[in-house]
Amino acid sequence: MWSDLGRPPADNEYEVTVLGPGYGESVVVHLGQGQWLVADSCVDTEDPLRGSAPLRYLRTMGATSQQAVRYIVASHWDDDHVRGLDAVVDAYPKARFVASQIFNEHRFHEFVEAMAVGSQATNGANVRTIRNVYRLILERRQPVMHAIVSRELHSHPRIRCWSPSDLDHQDFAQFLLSHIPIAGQSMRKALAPPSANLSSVVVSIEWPETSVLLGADMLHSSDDRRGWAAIARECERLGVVRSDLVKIPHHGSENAHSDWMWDRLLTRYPISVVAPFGRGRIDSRPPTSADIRRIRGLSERVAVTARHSASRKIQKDPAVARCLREGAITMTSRTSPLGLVRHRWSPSDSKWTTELFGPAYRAK
Amino acid sequence: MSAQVSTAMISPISEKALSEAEHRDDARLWGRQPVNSFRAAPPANTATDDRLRQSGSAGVLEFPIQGYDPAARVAQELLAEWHGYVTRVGPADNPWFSAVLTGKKGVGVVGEEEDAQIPIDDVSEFDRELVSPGNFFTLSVIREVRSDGQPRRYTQVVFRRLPAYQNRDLEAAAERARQITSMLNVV
Repeated sequence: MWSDLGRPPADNEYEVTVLGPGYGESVVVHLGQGQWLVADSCVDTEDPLRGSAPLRYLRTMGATSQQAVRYIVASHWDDDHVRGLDAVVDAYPKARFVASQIFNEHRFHEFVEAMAVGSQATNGANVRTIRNVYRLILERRQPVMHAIVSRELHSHPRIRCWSPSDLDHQDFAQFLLSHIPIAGQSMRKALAPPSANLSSVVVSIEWPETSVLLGADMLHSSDDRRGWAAIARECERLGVVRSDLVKIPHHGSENAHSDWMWDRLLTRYPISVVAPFGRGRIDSRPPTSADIRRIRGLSERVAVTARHSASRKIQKDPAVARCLREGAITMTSRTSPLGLVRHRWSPSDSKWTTELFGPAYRAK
Repeated sequence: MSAQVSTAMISPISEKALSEAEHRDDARLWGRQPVNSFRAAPPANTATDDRLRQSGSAGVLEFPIQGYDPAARVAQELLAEWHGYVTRVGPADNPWFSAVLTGKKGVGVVGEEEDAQIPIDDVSEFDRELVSPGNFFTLSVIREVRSDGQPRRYTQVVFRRLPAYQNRDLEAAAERARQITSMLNVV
């Protein structure tokens, strides 16, 4: 797959490449004039070195200079979005690191540093990558930016953040406070709560001719102060160009579906890209076939980075497999193939063209 | 330990079996994995012990040992092993927990990462309080052959009891966090 990626984009071409799952998901955007934005990171599980997939993609596209990446966005703190992010930060020391405000607050770092106590015993406690990111940022005095609702990160193209809402920020902060280790507790791994998805940073990128929405893992909430409802309200208040290409939020899951997003933030029948979830039981991983049907009904085109069925099955000794089955223990490999869906917009075509790599496929 | 009283010869083999039984209990108490290699207390020797005991051979000293059952002597083989940590605990009416596992031993599993769902029934009462997100355990598939030659396979979940966080370490962590946030170049 890596040798088939072809030429890098021309200076006047825009590009949105979604990578996943391998382990995680990532979006790489060519903003124009050789400038790039990276949102999140994933690793290629087929790569023996388990290197950062967006970094490998950028290098393949010739984006090797330290100035090539302008922004590195950490949408939220979840293992399947930050794995390999330290390698990206390391490679692009001039990039601005963008994360929700909580990442730069004392309580987040107190949580991370406390969890890292005894990290040999806990194999890094799931905070190794984020600690590495901040170690690099501090060493180089690399600039960090808070992703605050409606903040404009960049003007040409216009890059804006739309979340997390105040309430989602507060909830995540509350989780951190209540989970900071206290003396006498046994050492353990740090785990992000399911509500961490609501603390995702959703980003829009608006060029003069087209725009895209990167949905991260944002979810729907019945509370209109949270999730997509809060974003839609803010977008309406400030005005946003409807996007004709969307990285579907949270792997296309039902609980991330929001009529607000489809009706108010996107053009009618946009192009949708889905990066499947690579963990948990295969029959319950999003997107399910029902999720794909739903997204197809709302989109002009749908591209998915990989099929669940392409996940490698681990062949165990038959006696071991039988014993696990008899004990009602189910296991599913976390090794999913990595695929790429690339969309490029060139001024001559004035439309997005879709390219698929590896196990990626067109669902519509 | 069972309370039953049984008789056994003192021989190098039975001493070894006893020591291993104690080692298993000790390991369990301290949360270590009790089965980590092939251990053999060969059934043939047990049978020989029994025959000698029945024949009342001269020169063999027999006396009862509290809590020791020669029939329990087994050959055990570790077929597969994973190290894991709990990611989620299911509802009370459907007791299971989900976990991330890394294969440590076994054909095809070494180095592989898998998601698992495991019934809480598989966890001993002694370890149940440890079934909580972030906590570590070892899952093993073990084959054993009892002294009567009867083989069986079973799974075993043993939770690890890691050291506790210390006040001084947490205070140092809080201080590092203060330094990090004060040094950030926020633009």
